[in-house]
Amino acid sequence: MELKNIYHLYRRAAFGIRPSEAKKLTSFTREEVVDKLMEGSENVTPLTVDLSEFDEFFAGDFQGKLKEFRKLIRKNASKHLEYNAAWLERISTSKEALNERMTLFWSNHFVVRDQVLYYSVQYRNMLREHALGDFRDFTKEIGKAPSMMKYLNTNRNKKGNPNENYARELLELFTLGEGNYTEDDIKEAARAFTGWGSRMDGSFILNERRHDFSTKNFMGWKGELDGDDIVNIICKQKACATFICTKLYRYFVNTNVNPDHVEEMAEVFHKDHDIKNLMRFLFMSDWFYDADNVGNKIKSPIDLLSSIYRVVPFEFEDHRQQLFVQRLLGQSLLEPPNVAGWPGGRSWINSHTLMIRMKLASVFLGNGMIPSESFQYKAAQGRTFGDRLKVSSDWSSFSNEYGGLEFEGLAEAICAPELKGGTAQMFKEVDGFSKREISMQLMSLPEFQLT
Amino acid sequence: MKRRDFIKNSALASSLFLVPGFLKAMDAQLSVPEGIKRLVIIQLAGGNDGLNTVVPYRNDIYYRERPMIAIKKRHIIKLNTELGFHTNLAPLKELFDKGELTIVNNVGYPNPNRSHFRSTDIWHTASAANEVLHEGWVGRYLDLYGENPYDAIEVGNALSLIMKGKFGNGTVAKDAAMLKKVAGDPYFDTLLSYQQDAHLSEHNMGYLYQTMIDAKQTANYIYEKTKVTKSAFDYGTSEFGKQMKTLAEFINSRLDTKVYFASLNGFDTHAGQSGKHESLLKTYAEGVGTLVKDLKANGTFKDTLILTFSEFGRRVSQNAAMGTDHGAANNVFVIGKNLKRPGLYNQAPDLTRLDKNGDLIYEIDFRRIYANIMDNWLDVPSTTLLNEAHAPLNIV
Repeated sequence: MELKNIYHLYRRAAFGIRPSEAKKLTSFTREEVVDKLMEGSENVTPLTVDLSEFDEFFAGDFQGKLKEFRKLIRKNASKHLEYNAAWLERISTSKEALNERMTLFWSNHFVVRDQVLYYSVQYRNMLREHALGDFRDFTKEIGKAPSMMKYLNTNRNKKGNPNENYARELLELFTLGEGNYTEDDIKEAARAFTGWGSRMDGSFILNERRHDFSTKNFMGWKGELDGDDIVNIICKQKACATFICTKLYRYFVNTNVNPDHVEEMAEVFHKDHDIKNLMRFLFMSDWFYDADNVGNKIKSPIDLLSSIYRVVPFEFEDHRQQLFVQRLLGQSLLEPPNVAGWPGGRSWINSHTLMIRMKLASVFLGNGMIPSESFQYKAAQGRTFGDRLKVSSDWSSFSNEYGGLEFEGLAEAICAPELKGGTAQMFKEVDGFSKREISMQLMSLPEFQLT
Repeated sequence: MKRRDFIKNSALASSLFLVPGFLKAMDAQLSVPEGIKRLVIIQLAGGNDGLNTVVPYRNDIYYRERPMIAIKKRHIIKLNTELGFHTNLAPLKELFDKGELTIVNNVGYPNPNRSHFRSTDIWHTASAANEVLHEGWVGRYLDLYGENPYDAIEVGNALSLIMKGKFGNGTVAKDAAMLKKVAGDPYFDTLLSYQQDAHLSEHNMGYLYQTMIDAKQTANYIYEKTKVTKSAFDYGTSEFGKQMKTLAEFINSRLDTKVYFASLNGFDTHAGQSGKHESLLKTYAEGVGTLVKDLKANGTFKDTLILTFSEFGRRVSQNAAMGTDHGAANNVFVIGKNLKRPGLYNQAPDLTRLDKNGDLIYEIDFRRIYANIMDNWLDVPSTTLLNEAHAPLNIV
């Protein structure tokens, strides 16, 4: 497999690859490389932080625990910060890279926001477990998770007076997409999800007195349908496969959708709803490696951070500062804006976020100024943006992996699109900078914003 | 591609770096546009419950359908014998009494869509329910009549569809000092000095380079013009309050910006609505109330029009979770100095005549309000910005 295709595959399907590893893979075929990528995610490691203080509280029932609850809420906040940092570290370093990539994708598909970290951790680990599994089982599970039931009010949905929130988003955002269902379908589905709830430990429970057992009429199916039936009926619709494949295509291939390619994917997916098969098909497709689909996708803030980490590992001294940076860029992992998640693509970029994004490498890894011939950089004086951020960086790792590369190799490893025109010219003409400085210059280009 | 000419932009951008500060300041003073009319658009995102905002407090159906969440009569500020504000909207009542507020009831569009995202798109693009447009109506305004990237500014974290045009977008600006600091890195000047227009024709790459040029231009302009204007008013600590304060500082600095956009989130009250909704109304009313006072104190209110909308209203009946589900028609607020029809523009919603979902039926198409504002406030023919003709309402 060609080096540039290996870089492309790993940028999209994982979170990048070290140049030495990429070079090794060039002696394998595409199929072998994709196999290796898949094998890496065969075992799934849950991610958690130490929540032992919470275990006892969530083991029993809530009765008489209000005082304890208030105490735990305070601890919850700092654990949140810890978990947020642990997740980004997992993304940047995990060997189960494809599964982590899928987990990030699904967490922006089956979106929840949960202040109670105990359930939030449970939810994300459930996403990890199903990320490459059977889509039907997956969709049934997410609906029964306490984080989702709280977020979309399924736990307050009862017979006779249903709450439509979950049913609507299930059809609109999670499975079929706008235009593929009616308002009546929403009303009928909402009745199937009545009486749902969870125990303190997060396990699902059906409250039979609140559940509507009567006949429902959903998408041409009539009977005493329950929530699982609704998901089964939804997945029988080809529209569901098309909707999910379109979203995957936008995320992994190109924000401009090629309907033929999506149709190929939907054919594969509709047969068995096996996410892993679908992803293998995607990464094996020739069009995945078309020039049009390489180096043209705008990185999410999390992608941007992890791609800097890939070049020079860095660490925040204070978890709060890391969260601050995520928020500044518009994507804090545990705080999606709404049930539709982050829209992605160009919406990450505006005049404010773009300039901050292009300054990050110099702020994390240097003196806050991007290496240039200017007096400001050489003297590194004055307050710059980000001088209060405490970040340590591991340049020895950079020297090992990137130190031996010539400029072309360095540029190819760091920037997804090829440097052209004026930008390429600038690197030819401006010299006298060290490899470290050149790498920071590369990471401060608009080109580095693309993957 | 009137405003997106790279040569023009880069020449302008680089000349801005060379002119000494005092000259620039003088330049700015001279170019203060007199009597420029500004439009501020505020979205109550999530679907504001219009019935608990402008309350039909004499209507039995309202109380029957909302036994737990209806606003009690003692919490009503009466507007007339039928309708009243929730008490947290007291700052708006002041404007109402002074004739500086028009309330338009029953605003919507045919075949209402109950998805937040789709209905927001419909309001942002001024499209019909069955028509998908990729440009916001302010974006189209920029394409046709805009000159600078800061002609339209969103005070927030991301750029909404309403601000996106085919050839260019409005600008996000939140913290002028920070933007100035990051955009001022000399490396970016070197990089830009090497560019020809080749990059700009490429898909996302072109977008990035163009945004970079816009950002540098905007950063200088906004920072220089706003650095001396600091609001003396107390906007509280809420995110929305801060946005309103930034808005006031931008407007009172007399930025040459025609349209501003901001939004307040959280109106999707499916469960436990009452406390949440009341506190949102308070945040909104205090923010806007303070903004108006601030503008008045600085002589900019007479040239500013504030439009507030939400993507849809909510269902008349409450649900099992003491909340309300997505609805349809809703009320719209227009705040300004010389309104043609201040007060209640039209009748209260008719609760005896609902659609089959149990939602209010629209009486006034929202695009008629836009048409009026385009024609008589922004002074551009609404026919150039709207796909089909809509008889303008008579508000401004």
